[in-house]
Amino acid sequence: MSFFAKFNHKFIMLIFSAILISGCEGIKKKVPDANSQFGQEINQRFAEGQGKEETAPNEPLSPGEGQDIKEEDIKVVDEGAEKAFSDEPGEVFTLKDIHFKFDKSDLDSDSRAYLETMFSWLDQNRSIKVNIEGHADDRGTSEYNLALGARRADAVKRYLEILGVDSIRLSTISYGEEMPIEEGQHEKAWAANRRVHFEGI
Amino acid sequence: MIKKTITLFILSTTCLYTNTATAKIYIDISSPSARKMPIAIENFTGKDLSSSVSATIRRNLDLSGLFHMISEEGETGDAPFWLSAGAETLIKGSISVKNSGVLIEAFLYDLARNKTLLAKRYHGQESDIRTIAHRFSDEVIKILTGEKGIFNTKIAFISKKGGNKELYLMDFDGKNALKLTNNGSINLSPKWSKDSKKLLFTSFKGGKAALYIKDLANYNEIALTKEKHMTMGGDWSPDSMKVVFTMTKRGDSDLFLTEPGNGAIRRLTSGWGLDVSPAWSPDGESIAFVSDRGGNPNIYTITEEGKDLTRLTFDGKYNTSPAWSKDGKWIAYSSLQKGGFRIYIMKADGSSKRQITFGPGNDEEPSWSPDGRFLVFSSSREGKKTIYLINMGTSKTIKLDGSGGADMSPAWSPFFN
Repeated sequence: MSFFAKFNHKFIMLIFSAILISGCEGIKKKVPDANSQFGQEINQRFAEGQGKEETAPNEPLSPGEGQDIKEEDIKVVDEGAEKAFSDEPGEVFTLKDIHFKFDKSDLDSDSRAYLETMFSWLDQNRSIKVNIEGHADDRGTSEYNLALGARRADAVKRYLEILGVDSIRLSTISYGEEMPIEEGQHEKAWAANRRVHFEGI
Repeated sequence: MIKKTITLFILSTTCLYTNTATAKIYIDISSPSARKMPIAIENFTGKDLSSSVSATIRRNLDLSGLFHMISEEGETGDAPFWLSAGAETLIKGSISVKNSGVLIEAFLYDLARNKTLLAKRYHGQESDIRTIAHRFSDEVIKILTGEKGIFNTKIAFISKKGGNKELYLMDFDGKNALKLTNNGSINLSPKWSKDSKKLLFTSFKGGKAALYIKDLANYNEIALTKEKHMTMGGDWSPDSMKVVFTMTKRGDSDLFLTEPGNGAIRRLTSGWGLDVSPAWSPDGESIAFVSDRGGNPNIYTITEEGKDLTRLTFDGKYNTSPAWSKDGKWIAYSSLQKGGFRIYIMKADGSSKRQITFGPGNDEEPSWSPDGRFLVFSSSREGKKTIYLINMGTSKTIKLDGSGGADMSPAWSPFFN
């Protein structure tokens, strides 16, 4: 539990950092670059003496543009990250598949990052349960592939549990090679079929 | 019900005359260099369908690889003619239609010694003709080699014909495919009990993969265990009293043992690594299985008590589907090579590895005939998965009709009593 608490703390910091960074990027985007097409047009207008604006070209020209930026302080709430997330209205989380290398069940960094965002979604939607389906490509026997699918599903389940999802909300099933999403004897199909698929319950 | 399937409606077979004094072994099948028996097979006299009797017998004996076929299709002659043509044995017979069915008489002659080796009369329905031809073929093999023939054995398999994988049964030669399950789910990995009365198979019919036993006497299905965990694969002990199978807990697949109907479960393997596809040796001493404990899937053996763990395969990245020959001397398996999976055999200690099939596509899931002279396997060599039969002596390979859909996971039955 202490590990969990410690982790959770770190995780909140991570989320806030992410929000801050994305906020900064949001502001930057509103500033026209002198080298951009828009910036060049402004420069040209000034060069031709047609411009009557006093504003420096590296400042927002249109008052409207500057007013689009809404800035506010992030409320730090004691309850934790889920509160901060719930302040962002209308966020839709899309469940997507996680993919694996041939005969492997390791989670790569992209998969772990995805599971971390999935965790935060699960953490703010406590009524949701997830069925984790393990799948394999059709090379090898159906029996080995059932075992491999189970191992993949369990690898994902374990990671979500480590992140803090109550195991009672997670179920697993292996379909092995039996439910391909892409038919064919080539790497593209195999790669698509080596997956863990999620079903929200 | 299965009795009906196996023996069909053959009302009676009467042995008209059998020369029981012939202890002579005409074909020594234990010798790899044995001379092929020169034989002539005449079309049976009688109705049109007579040609299907002799054609089936001809196909069977040809497939056995033990005969040198002297006669052309439809050729007839007397004993001196066949002798001069080089034949030493002759099969001929007749078929007649009775109001209640068909009557078939079939004979095997030793031309050189001028002896009748077999004389059989069969009463049955028209639909039984193939089965009767198979029975007579078995008799021919028995009297010439002293060994049981395999022509009345069956092959259980999985077909995707209707879109999902269901369990099927067919004759050894791929004819008379019969659908055994119709649950609309996914059904896998059939294995015959050694008394040939039951089939163990994996099914998703209850939601997740679990093992079931189908009783071929009444087609009833019962769950092998009451476990909530995934169970799959599996094979029977030689006395058909026990089953070794895979159960998966927390992503780890290990081997377990149970007695069907008893409920108690005993762990056989443990630790990291997937342990799947167990196959019990005919003498009961050893269980071959596939494990990736060494990094990738390879074949191991272990005793029922969990002792003497031995790794048998080392080459290649993927060795799987161990299948014991009925004499326990050989293990067939499939191995991933550059062009795909190929069937290999090795001795029970892992020595004397020999490649049996050469693709193209993937050759997988071998199963031995009960006389050890053939293997069936699935192959994608012509596109969709289909079941093929190979004669281990001659390498002659034939494609089995099966369901007409994608067929896989063949399991050859033991002899029926």
